Amino acid sequence: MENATILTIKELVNKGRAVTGASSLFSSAASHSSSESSSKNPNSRPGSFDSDLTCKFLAPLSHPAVIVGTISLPSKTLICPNRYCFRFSDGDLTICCDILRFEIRAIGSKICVLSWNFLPMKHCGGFLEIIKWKFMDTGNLLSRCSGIGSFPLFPSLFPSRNGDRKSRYCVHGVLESISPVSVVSCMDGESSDSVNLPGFLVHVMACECKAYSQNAAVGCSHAFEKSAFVYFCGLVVTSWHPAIRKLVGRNVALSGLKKKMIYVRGDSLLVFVTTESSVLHPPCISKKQIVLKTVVDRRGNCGSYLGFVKGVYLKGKLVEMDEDVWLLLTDQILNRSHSIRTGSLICIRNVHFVNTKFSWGEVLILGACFKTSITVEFFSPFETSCLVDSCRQNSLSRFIESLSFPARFWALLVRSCLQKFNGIPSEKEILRSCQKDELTKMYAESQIPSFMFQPRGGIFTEFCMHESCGCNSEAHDCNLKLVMSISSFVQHYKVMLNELLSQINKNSSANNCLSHSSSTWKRDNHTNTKTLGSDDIGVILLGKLKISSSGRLQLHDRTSSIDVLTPDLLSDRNAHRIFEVSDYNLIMEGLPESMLHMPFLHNSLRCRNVVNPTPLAIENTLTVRFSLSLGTGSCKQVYGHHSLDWRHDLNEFKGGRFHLFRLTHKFPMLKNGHPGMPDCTSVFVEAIVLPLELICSVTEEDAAAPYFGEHDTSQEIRPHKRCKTNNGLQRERALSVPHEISCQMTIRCASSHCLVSAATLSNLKEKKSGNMLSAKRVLLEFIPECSNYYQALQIGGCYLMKHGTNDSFCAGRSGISNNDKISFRPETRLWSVEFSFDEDLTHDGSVDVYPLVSSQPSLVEKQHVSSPQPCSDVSLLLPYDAKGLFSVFLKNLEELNKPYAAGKNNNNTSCCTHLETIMQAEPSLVPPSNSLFPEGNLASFRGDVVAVDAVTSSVVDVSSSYCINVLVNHQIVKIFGPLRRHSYLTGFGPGASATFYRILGTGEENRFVLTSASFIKINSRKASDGRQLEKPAHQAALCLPKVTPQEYVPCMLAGPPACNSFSGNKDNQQIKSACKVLSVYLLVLQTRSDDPSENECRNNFDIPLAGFVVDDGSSVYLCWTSGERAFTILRLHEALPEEDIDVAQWTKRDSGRETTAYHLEQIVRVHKRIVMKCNGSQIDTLFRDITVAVTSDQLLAKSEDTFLKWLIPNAISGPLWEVARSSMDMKMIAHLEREQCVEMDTSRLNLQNVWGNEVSQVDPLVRAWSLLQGLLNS
Amino acid sequence: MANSQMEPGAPITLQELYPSSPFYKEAVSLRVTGMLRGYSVETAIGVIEDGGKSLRINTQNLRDVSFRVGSIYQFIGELHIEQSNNEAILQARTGRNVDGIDMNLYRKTVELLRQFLKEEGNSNMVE
Repeated sequence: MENATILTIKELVNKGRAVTGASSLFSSAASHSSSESSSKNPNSRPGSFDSDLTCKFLAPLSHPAVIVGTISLPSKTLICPNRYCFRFSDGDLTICCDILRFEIRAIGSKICVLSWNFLPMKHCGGFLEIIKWKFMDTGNLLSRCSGIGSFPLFPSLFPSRNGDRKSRYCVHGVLESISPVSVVSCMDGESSDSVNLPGFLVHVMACECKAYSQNAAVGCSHAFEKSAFVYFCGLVVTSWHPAIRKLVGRNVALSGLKKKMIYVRGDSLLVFVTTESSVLHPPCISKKQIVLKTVVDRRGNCGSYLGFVKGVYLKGKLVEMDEDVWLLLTDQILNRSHSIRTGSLICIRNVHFVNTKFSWGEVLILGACFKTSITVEFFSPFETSCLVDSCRQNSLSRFIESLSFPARFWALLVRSCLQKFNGIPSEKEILRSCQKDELTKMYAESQIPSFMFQPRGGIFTEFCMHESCGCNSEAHDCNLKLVMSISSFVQHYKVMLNELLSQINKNSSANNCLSHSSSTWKRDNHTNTKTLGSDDIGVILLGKLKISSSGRLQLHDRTSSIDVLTPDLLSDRNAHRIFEVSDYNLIMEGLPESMLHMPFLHNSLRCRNVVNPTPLAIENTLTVRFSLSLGTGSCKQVYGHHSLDWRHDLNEFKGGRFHLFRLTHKFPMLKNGHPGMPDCTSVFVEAIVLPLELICSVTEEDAAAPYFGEHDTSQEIRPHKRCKTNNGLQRERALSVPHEISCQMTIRCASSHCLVSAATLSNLKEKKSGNMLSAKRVLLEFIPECSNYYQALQIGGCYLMKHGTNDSFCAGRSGISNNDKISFRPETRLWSVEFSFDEDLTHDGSVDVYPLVSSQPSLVEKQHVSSPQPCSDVSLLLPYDAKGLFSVFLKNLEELNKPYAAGKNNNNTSCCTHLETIMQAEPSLVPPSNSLFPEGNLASFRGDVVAVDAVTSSVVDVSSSYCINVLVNHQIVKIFGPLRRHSYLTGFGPGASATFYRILGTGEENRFVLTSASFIKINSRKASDGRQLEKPAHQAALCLPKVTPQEYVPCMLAGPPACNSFSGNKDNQQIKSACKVLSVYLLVLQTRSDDPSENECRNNFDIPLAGFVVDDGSSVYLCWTSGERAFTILRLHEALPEEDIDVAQWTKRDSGRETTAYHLEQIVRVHKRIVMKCNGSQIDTLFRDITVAVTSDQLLAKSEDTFLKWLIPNAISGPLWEVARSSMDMKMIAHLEREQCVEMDTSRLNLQNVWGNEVSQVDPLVRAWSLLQGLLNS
Repeated sequence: MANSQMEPGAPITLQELYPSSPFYKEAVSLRVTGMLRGYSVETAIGVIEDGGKSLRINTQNLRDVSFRVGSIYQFIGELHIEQSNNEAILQARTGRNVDGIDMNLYRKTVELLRQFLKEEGNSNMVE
């Protein structure tokens, strides 16, 4: 203590560093008074703060140091946003402070701060937390425990006017609660102007004894039973607020008060008001127990809570206490102390305990009201930021204040979720934050039911009539769904799966069962899928829809993105609009087999992950893909700032003419697809242009006054104009197009704005040839910029395109004729349209509306499940007569050559047994093709995918393809073909309901082939928890082989029949033999995708081409292969052997990171594409000259080079492989070279070039037995 | 050795080595396989067993084979019939450890090989 230097505040502020200091660096508590020794420095306190937080401790000063200064009440000299906090001044500088073991006498006295924390703050230099202190004046110390002092609330400049008879009352009792400071406007008696007087209320349980004797304040036998309110009024007195706050729960006496009758909500209430002569008599400090854990003291609804702060969020509005205990400090008026920091122990008095069951879990909400006071019992030892009030009160905070506690909590979670939302393209952060507030408010308003709003009565009502003003009554169950950011959502499930996995591992190791080791399931972990419904999850996701670079539709927010599978979308998809996704299924693909049979732990979602989404450093051993399958109409737009949008939308319709066309087919994207075809970046759809145009008669007035709400657009508001039908229609029906059909048009805008207007369908006039007489089939080309449209368009859907001289259909042509190729222009807008027909227009009352063909076929399907809410942008109500005409245009596209229902004999067989018989049948065989090109009828139908098998067949032209078993009409249909990247859609696999368009019938019953023009649409996914997989017979069949995107067999060998011009090559026989790898000849490694969101999946790199020198015992070949086969030969899925290479820098001994592939991926990710060549001229000397070329501009590190070269001996030391090979001709080699842009240099070694179609490890014994068997049989 | 020309060791199973069998002759070259039952370092004589039959092997000419009782070994060498007790012993000229061999498969293979050689021999005769 003697050695301690005296620090000035200036020094601390100038350093601007958070530090903690003490008078002594050694524990010498013995030299201190007993009262001091009981208050331990929190730094040395054994933590009951079970922190998983990674907080930094405050840096301690290296030398003992004290601060000398005075504590004062808040004054105008220092403007602090928190307004009512203590000040500390050393004569030079004044900063805010908080103090433990506060005594009233300390105010104004010179004290020596023995132990303290200093935290820099922006606005007033810093904040001092006084942990231990003593009076400088030792004389004062003697009188310390003498008990009572008297402190006039007014500075003693004014002599006490005892003569004032009015101010003769005194109140003595336990200080129960204190209100925040509020401002009352009142009339100043002298100037008759209204002045704003600050003041606060104090609730005292007082003793009724009239005489207050100074000596009997403590320990007397008073009965503190009478409730009394004291109003501290005026600027000077209000500055006592922080001091009085420290006295809550203690015995105080106030004298020199006057009585006032106030009227609160019609009731009169007696209140004591402070006067200029009021005096405060504080209690003597009694020894308090130090509490190191959460203490809850509850009386009824309110109580006190003592606990550590785990986190402070949203500018202090939300404070995390213990697990699932949250303190809400939403009222703007509340005083929040700077010292409420992460890690501090706080005591919250008079707080509402609201146990709330949300749909995602249960939370204890501590709701602060005007009676609540918070004192800090121990300061946080961590370097965490101070709480600073932002005084701005905006509409959101006012809105939140008007809610009940659970709703407030929910709204704050929404706000924090939107916090991470880059929703508004605005540069200014403040503006953005305001917009987010606005967005939160609008969204919350739409979600929170009315009973969760509660009127606020003002500070007097709520403080004085606390029990009766409704502050008490809370809704305890709350069906609001949690809004989460996508990254926290995915994170949650990753954590859950990891927990589940570790549980499984624990179980299996307990059973000493090795079959569940992670390497076992990794091999086919793309097979197993589990689906969870949104009802079970209880989470709403907000995000924007976009199409990733890989062509997948994704929901994304600022944090992350997730693949989305949706049956219907408004074509009006603005990339800036935020959608709310509430009805969905979460699909988890790639679960280990063992997990399918485990019930999912229903971990409640932790709100902490929402407000504080710092990713937990979990060991990600699982490579599960998450995607969402949206339910119909689940994608609602969040009411945003689009008031301009709908007006703009409607303006588009004003007096406009529109082309009508129907999509009849979508051709799959050819991106990175067919080797034989030129690179094609465009996508194509086939459409039928109807010989009609829609003339819309929306007027300016209509557009100005649209209707609101979808539900209001029912009959009542429809103008029941009788639609005129052309007389000629009856005669010409279905044969030719009538000249004009009147109809009624409902335009739905992005929000719920609707507009109903009259419109006319009239014969499309063309420039030259006059009227267009029949529908024309055209091919629409979408250049890459328009691929968003391509994604949104649905086969079978009808669309409107604005008709003008420069639209895609009219520009540069005199008329549309069949088979025209029309380029879609990026500026063109499309609206989806659906038709319905009035059954009888002559009826005035009831209008029977039903869609003939919904533009979204899935809607028709699901009518019984969800409300058949129309989802198209425009619906047209047509006279019933027109139905015949339209049925020609709108014929069902999903029922083309559909496999017929099972025969009559099978009628009794249930679908299940049928399924089983098929499942148990031997491996699917590919239909034999006896002609050069496959022949058959095209078919389109919808069915449920039951299983996807790898085809085990030696027929060359369809090897490495898959057989999709689809349940159609209760019978299994087999569809063969390669599932390539373009057709392998998100969510495809067993459990998906999909529509297959234009697949080729093979002539055999229920067997079809996917062609390069076939399109698969996924309509929905069944929610499954994997239970149906329990039958072992199914397990084998339901195993979906890993579909490696981009893995294909060169088209000369095995492409889809349609593009396979070489399939007739009889010489191209496939031969299987066991081979040993002699050397690696060429290796091309490249990253699979540039999309970062896909980087999580396994093997995020590809081997598009690899050449190996192999020996099958009789001769040596140069064997070329790609993809997974090359992975196998290189033994990339095997664990990295430690002894083979100095792999210390590569290997972290985490499970899942031990494979060679993992380490190779790190290298490939950096260098994008790596080509490694062995240039030796002899097989034995191949390694002497190895060149490694990378495409990135980064140099290949020495260790990376070594690692890549190590792959060669690693492959050579591999086992025998059974390779199914076929010979390669020069054409194919040339093609591969062109495609991969590498020189294969196939003639250098003078070996025969072969293509490896299949690679599998040889079990020599099995092979020998089978050879023997073959020989014995021959 | 007496024979200037060394014959290839005909693969046989130990069951085929009984006194009246065509292989049970002095100086016939054989390839035998069986599990090592015992081994004497002093005499360098081991005993292999297969299918209930056993055979003594004289390994004094072998250098680089380490013998472990319980492992399966294959020897090629010449049979020597001891006149005193009419017992056979194989004078091994080479031997190796063949642990992991599937004896059933091996027996079948031997049969098949013989069949093939017989056919081959027949066709050669026709020529």
